[in-house]
Amino acid sequence: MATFGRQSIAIAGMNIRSIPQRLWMSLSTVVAIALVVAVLLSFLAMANGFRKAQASAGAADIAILMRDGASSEINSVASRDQAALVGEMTGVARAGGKPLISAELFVIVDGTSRSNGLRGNLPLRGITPTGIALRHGIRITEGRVFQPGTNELVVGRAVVREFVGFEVGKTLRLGQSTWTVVGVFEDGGTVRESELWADAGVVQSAFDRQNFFQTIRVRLTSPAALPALKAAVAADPRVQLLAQSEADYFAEQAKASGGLIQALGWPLAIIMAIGALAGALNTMYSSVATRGTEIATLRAIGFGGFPTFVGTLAEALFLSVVGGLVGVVAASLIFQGFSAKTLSANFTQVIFTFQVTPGLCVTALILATVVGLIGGFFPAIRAARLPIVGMLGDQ
Amino acid sequence: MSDFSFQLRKVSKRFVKGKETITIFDNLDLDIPAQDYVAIMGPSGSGKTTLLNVLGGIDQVTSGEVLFNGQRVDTLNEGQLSRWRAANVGFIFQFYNLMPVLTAAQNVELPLLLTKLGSKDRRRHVATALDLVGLGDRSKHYPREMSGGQQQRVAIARAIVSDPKVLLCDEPTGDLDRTTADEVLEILALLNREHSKTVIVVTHDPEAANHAKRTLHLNKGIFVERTKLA
Repeated sequence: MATFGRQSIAIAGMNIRSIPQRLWMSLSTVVAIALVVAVLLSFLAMANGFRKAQASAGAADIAILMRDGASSEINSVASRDQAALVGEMTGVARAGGKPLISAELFVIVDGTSRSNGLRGNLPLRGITPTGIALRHGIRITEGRVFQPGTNELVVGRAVVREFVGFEVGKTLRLGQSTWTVVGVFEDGGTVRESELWADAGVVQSAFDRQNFFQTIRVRLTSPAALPALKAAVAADPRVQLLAQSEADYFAEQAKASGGLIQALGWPLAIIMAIGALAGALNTMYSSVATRGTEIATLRAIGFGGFPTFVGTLAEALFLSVVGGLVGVVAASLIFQGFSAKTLSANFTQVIFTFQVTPGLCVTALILATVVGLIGGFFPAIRAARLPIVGMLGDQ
Repeated sequence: MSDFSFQLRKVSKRFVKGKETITIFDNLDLDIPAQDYVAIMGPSGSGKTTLLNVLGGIDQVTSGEVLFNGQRVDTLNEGQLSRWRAANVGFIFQFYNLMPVLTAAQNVELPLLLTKLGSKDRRRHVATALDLVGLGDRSKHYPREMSGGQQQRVAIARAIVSDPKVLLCDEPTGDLDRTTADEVLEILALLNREHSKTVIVVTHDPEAANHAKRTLHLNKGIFVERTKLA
């Protein structure tokens, strides 16, 4: 067994060191595999970034209540009376004797994209100072929060980055009213940074929503209080809402679009991988052919067929791993932090950044390795079975 | 144990090409004693190299028996043949067949990778073999940095480094000028004379044959002349 290992290492070493003799063909295989990895990684990073933007927005100690059957905020409706009833229920945290509750509107408005000049939907959230306080991690980075009762907006930093005319001090028309941007907030890159916030009462009035909202958010006394709140909501026929944790809500939102991105990415990467596989097979068959005399000489000396197989496979794996690493580095340099936007379940633009993680890199490298294994397997069999006689004198 | 390195008994080698069967040799008998130095000559296509390949266990006979030190080798499977070659046979080729990406020392070390020797012992054996062929100072040179004669001497060092009993040489001087060829032949004679190697040389070169103890002429599949040199 020890000699088997030495033989395999020796043959693999010779094969890899002789790659410069087949430079262009080997390089084309490396590039093809790098492209496969980069494309796959870009899709995975996109899906991951989208998922993180959504999922990290949700908190376990915040409950969101929506109309029974509503799959997203835009489909929901809730009244002020329902909000009052929920505020008195068990499990709702209180401060200064008042429930920590926020009834919110969700209205779609227009924005103009910086990148292509096209109009896109943006979510305008009618909110109260309590509603802002319910959200963990919100930080005003420029200007200030809107004054209640005024047509003032505070906007997410992703909106400022991706859409025209949302800088602090700018005025703009939303619906029938003119609004002034007074502040910019950040929320660690979550989906909230794609929103515009204004006073709930003013939004109700400006968009003729009378006394209705879309959702009700409450702070729970603890995440463990959610079942009690759910039971209380279900037991009161006047409420007619469903409660779920904000974390679960955003995770569900992320699953649909994130899954779709991945569902597109994998087939595309696999189709490209088949192309790269053809290149790898061609390169490796060529490698075996050009090293026929060397292989036959080693076999004549006494090297075994199986070490020859392993050594040839090692060359294919080497090329694929190099290609994979090139792809990972290229994708990381190009896509890490790359900003993109897509339509959410609320029919509004979600702005997010691509997130390349070590786990995704490993996934992409596994694909590269599979291409190398298959691309090297059949040429390696040919190498192991190469007839010694007839190849020894081929110079 | 037999005193013979090789014994061929009624050995035949035939190829089937389309509907035609080509006989390379038929019912060939041959005894090569241990420590013999044999030159096998003959016109192109006479079966010299095929015979050498059969002796080296890299080609199969169609019928007959091939014995090495009294043991059948024609019945060994591929794995057993590999191990038998590694232990008993050193090959020397016309075009040297060195690995271009390896240095002289690394080329010579290859057969030792099939043994249980540690790296220190392997280095020692490699140095001894290179010294024996006069290339102790070229161990770190690559084949492309050496002349044809030097490359063939590296190939000889590779063939002898694991101390095999037999050296099988296929046109070892075929790619060399006269002076260099003579140097190589001197080394082979030395290995036979002082290191007790059985040397079997297939050659077109009469000078190569002159260095052998005897010459076998193979023509149309039979030995037509056997010459014992003084």
